[in-house]
Amino acid sequence: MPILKSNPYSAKVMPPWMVGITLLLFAALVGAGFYQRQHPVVLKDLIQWVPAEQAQKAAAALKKPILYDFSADWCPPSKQMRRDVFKNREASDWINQNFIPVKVLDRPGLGENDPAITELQKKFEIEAFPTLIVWVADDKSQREVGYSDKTQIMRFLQGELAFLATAASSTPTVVSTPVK
Amino acid sequence: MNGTLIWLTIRQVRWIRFAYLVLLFVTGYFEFTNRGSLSVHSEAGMMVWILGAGTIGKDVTNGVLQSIFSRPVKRFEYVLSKWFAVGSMGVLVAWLYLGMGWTILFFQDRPADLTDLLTGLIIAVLASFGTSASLILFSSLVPGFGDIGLMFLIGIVPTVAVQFWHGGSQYWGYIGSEVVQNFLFPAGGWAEDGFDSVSLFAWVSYFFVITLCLTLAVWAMNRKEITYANS
Amino acid sequence: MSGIQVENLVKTYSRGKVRALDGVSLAIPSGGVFGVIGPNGAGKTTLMGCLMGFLNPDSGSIHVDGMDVEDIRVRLFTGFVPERLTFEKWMSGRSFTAYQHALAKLPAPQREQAVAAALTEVGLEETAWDRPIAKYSRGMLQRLALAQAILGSPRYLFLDEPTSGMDPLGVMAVRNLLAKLKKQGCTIILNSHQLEQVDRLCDQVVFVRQGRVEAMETQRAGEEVERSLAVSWRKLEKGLSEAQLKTIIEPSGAQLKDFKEGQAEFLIKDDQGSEKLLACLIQAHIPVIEAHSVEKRLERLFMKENDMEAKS
Repeated sequence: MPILKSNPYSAKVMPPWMVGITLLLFAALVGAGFYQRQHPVVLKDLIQWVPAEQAQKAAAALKKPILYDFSADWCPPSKQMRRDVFKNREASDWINQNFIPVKVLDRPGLGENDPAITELQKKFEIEAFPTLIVWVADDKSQREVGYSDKTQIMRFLQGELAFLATAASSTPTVVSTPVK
Repeated sequence: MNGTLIWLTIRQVRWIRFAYLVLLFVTGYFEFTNRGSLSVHSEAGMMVWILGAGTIGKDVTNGVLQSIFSRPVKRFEYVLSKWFAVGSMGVLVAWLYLGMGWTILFFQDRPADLTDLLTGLIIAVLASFGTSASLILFSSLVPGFGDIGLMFLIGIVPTVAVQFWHGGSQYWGYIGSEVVQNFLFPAGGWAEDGFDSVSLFAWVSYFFVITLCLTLAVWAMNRKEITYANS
Repeated sequence: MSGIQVENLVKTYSRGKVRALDGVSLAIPSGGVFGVIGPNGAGKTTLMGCLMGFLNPDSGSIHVDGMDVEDIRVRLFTGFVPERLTFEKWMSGRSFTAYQHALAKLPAPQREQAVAAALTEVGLEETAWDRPIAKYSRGMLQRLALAQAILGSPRYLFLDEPTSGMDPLGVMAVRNLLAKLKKQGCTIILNSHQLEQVDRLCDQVVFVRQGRVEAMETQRAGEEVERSLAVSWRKLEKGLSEAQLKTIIEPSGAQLKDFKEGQAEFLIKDDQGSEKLLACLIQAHIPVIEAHSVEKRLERLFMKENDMEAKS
């Protein structure tokens, strides 16, 4: 049975316009794929990310811990975390106030990693995404691996902040009302 | 498209399916409360599954196709009508779901932005018609409710497999899983990020998956032999 | 070109292992009733499926009024009664017929009237029209199937076992309906195991076996055709010779086919012939115990073909 029946009145006709649109879209898909490799999309959220090389200086100046977000755009849990936490107004405001947030994105645009990113991943021994690390010093860092829901993340961050507040000699700035 | 077939498809939905939808709405209450934001893309896909499961497969096993194709109805008309009917039902229910979410957040003193609501409404449309296309393809290939079983199997295998992979291969596992998810639930992937983060590739991919699914479904229906003579 | 032309139709299943239709060629003229008979597994349902465009033949062609059978326009003037009456069970009879009316692209303003007319024509009780199909008996389903098939006064009607499961009154009603449709110029293709129905209604009958047309009989429906009547009687004291019997039956016009002590088989032309024959025998004081038809004309087709098979 031919795919495209020549008789337009046939009950089993495959409309040429359907096949045509599918083929056209396939060609467009291939083109868009090449385009995206050259121009990867920057996924936006409400966090005021600080470049990694400026993070330690900012942390010392503002006396805030660094929050490293080791994640990947190809990783669904990372995307869920960004959607639920980093795009949430309340949560993102609180994070911006209490941390120096640094995003370390693995293979942006599915390309190869920058050497600096690879180095950071090695330094912190990152094995899975997402991994959040609250870092004050090399011997005072805690991590949370994986993502299940917003509560899990906020509990971790608030817990770390509270711990640091009691353990450290200088008290970091803490917003009095914790976020749920 | 055929209005009579669209009407038939909607009327074929039995009441038990609404019971599953009620369950979804109940869990939705906790989802909205926990998340604090309006989101519907994955729920829209599930709504389409609940409303449209077996939409063509059941017509095959119930033997009603003869009474349809003994009439002047082209097979592609039948496929497109099914897709439109299932997608439309998904949109309606998803919009109700969003309405519920908006109301919940409003009464919890966390009202959603109008932008979020509009985004949710549009994503509900895209996700419903996207998942409907995928469902129609599988339903045209397997009888009864086999479409859901097949889609579940295809969806779950990469998701489970990726848990056992580590290191570099986990990357390819996730990529594979995402490709499969984008095929089973078109608009499920990039819809998570909202429209300000959507790439051209994601948009083209969405429309391509829909047209591919529908074209393949038409091809399958055109080949299908509607008789019990060989049984 | 009117009528249905089937040319060298071949249909196989299981990747060619089962040859359901093996080069079937038919020319069905328009305006008559065409019967398809044959043993189980002969290929009759497959033939019906191909004639309706439900199946994909391996080779060959089917044209209805000059158009390929898969042409959607053919569906505008055909009606179909399936063998298996699997309809949407949640619909009522009326709503199902209306739905079929809509699918047939018949005008909506006339729908209510047309549906009522069709349901009345097939003799479905009005009290049942709004009952769900799930509660219909087999006979009611058969009537409903006919009702939806005759919507829009189709030029061609394909009937697959249309009286299966019907009571005698229903069968008679269907027969009358089909005779009426035939008078209106409808071409009817009838697949039935009920040979008497086929005999009474059909102008042409084709006998199908193992996917091939083995025989075709052209007749006028219900025309007078020779039949056999077997008669047995109580043993006579004086006995009865063959010659004597022939003399006795001469006025009736019947012919003696076979003679044994106490029983004989006669060839008669019609029912009147049977009456006359029995009257002659009784007048001659022959104590008749039993008289019955030996086999019908179409049954002979089955027998004849079975005999030919045995010989080969």
